[in-house]
Amino acid sequence: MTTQPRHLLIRLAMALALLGLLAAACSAPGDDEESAEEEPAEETTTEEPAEAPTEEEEPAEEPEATEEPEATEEPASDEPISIGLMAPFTGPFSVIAADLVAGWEMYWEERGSTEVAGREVVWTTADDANDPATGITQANGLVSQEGIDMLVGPVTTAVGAAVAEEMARQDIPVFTPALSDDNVTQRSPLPGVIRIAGWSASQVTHVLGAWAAEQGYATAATICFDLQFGYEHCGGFANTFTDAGGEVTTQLWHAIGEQDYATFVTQLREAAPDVVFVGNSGGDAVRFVQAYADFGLKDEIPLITTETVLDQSSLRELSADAALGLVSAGHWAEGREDPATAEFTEAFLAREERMPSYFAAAMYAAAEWLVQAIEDVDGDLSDTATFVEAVRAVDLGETPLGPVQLDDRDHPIQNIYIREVAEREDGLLWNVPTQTYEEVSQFWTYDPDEYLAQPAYSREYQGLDWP
Amino acid sequence: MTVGRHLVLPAVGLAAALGAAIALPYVADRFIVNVATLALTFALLALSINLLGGYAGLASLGHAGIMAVAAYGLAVVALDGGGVVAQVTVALLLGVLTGGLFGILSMRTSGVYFLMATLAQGMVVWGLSIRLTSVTGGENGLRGLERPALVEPYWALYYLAVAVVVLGIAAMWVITRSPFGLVLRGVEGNEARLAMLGYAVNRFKVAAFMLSGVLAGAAGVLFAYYNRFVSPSAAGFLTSGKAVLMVLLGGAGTLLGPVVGALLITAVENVMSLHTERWPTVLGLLYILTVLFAPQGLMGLGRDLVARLRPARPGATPGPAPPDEPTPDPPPPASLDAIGGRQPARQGDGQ
Repeated sequence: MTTQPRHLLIRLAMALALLGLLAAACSAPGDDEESAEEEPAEETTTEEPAEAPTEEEEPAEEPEATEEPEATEEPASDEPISIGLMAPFTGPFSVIAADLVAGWEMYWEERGSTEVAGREVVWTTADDANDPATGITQANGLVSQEGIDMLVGPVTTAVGAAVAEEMARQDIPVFTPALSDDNVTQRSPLPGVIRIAGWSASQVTHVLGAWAAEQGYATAATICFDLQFGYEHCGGFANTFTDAGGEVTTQLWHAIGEQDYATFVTQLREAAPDVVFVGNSGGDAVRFVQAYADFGLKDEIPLITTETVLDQSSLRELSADAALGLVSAGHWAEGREDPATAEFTEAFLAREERMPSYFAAAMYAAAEWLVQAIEDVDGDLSDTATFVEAVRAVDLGETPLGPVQLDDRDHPIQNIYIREVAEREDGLLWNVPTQTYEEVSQFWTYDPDEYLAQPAYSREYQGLDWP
Repeated sequence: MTVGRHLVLPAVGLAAALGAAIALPYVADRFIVNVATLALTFALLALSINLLGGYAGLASLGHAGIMAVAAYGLAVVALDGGGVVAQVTVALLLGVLTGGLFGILSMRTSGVYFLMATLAQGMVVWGLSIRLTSVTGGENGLRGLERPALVEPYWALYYLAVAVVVLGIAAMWVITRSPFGLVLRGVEGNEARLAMLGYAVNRFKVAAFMLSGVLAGAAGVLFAYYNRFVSPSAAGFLTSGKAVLMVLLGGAGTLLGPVVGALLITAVENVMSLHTERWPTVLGLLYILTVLFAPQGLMGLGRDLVARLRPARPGATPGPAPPDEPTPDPPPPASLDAIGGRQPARQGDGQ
């Protein structure tokens, strides 16, 4: 009896030692990333102050900041501008979150300073773990602990809806470069959410449907996620494809996380359409595209698809045989020759040693966008409504995405590219635009009011008979 | 050696915990109070699972389904213009009914099959919440939910959560000490023998499920008010699984274990994630260490430690350490004879 407590103590000591060792081993890389994210002030030391500050500078509080103080006017406030970045850093979407943060940080590094309109800009990342309850708790934490002036993110619909509602209650604007649901800016707009540098599912596939009909395809089969994301991608394609005289002969729906696409590929072969459209994302996109090639269908029936399927976040995992030559539509094309895109792509590749996904590009553009808006209000964020109006009015000219401007429903009007997967000289795959549709609206060429009178795309409604 | 002596430690502990809970909004900022509210919500769900899993050996992997049904019920009534009383009543009723239904559907199974059956039930709710878009709003969920005016401030909702959890713990204390609770212990010990003694075991199981459903329903009410939003992820397997882990971490079959587990896991998830992206690693290590060194959970570990230290105190308790001394709960009876022996008059109960 007397020896047992000692045993227990020894075991406890061992346990603590083990915990300490593992924690130290595991957290080291995480801390490196964190320090870069949370201490933007340090980044300014590594940057050459190449771009000379033009107006309204004030000495930063941190001694590391090396810019010459050149204060000509009183800044709006001494407080830093605080921005919350929310993304699912853990779980299946962590790759996306990493790209988002990389794009964001890259902008500030290139800019060389985190001072905008005389105020320091700081940001804090928060992990929503793709769970609405966690997202709400974290967002409130950002408000009460960091005093954020705005929130950028989140990525997924459920978290986005929950967090947007909560932030609207506290008058914090939410900017979402990644949330792609149609209805965020259509039938049931989320309060306070502005889609800077964002996109929506059917905005992209409307273009692809029209393009496919132009190529002379008469019949099409579609296969999409059996959830809202899929209904919107497939619906956008089916709507414009049938408008132009095409016929959608088969529509297949698969669950998220489907492991075996053999049966689906077989059904598509039997349907024998002129063209197959697929709308999914992530691991499912990789598995489907691979299966499509493995079963030999790639050479029989052309496969066309949407932004997410051939985004770099999937393309990095695909074999060249399966992906080369596939056509997709997207608001981002890393192989675009325009200098704004080319410079971004090369710089990102050099920094991260991987090709940039649309998440990285969108976040880079979002940072650029917000800086412009903050400058337009001279750093005065005391009135949210004024700032939001400034964000709406921003016209950046060129971004890595191309020219982007918001419509009156806070959705970008932008280029949509028809892209083809090609191999670079260094062996990496990328999407090269073959055709550009300029100034595409979220409503395609339809009248917004008539379009909104239709139901949202669903399994039942794919816009086949409309208009 | 008096009864009072055994209760001193738990009583002091409970009073301290309650005092800390009441003081929290005065000393901590909004974020911490919010995290605590969320933790208490999950504590209720964990208590609900513990009633079945910890006492009757029926670990359910689908309990988030019950919570979600209640939350959806509340949201539907609220968005339809129903008052607070209607909202809460519907939510709790749905909790009881769903619990009862789960019980009926799974009462003939046990062990792994019970796990599978309850897992499937939870997934059915999850599937419905995604597919039944006319009621649940599909993946977009139901939003635009308003809290009742009384609990609109975050701290008021927190105090409501504290009150409900205290009620839940009190209810568990009563239930597990009642003859009903002893029968549940019997289900874990030897179900066949219990049936032979004349107990209608299945009725007990369904009744336990319904009681458990009340707690899960209450968790659903808090969850809906906390988020002002309900989405399918509330019913998802991750939520169910997390709640079961809370029970195991805190200590299955102990009164306060689920609450401790819920506080710990929610804190790691929300507070530690601010400091490191590796918080799932920390959580994983916590589970491993618990399994290795405290298979009875943290409360079980605490109980063992106290039991071992106590005889060292001179004159405190002569003789070998009574195994159940400092615990608020009796240990599981070694066999059904214990139940038969203690409660001969109750044989045939529930027939």
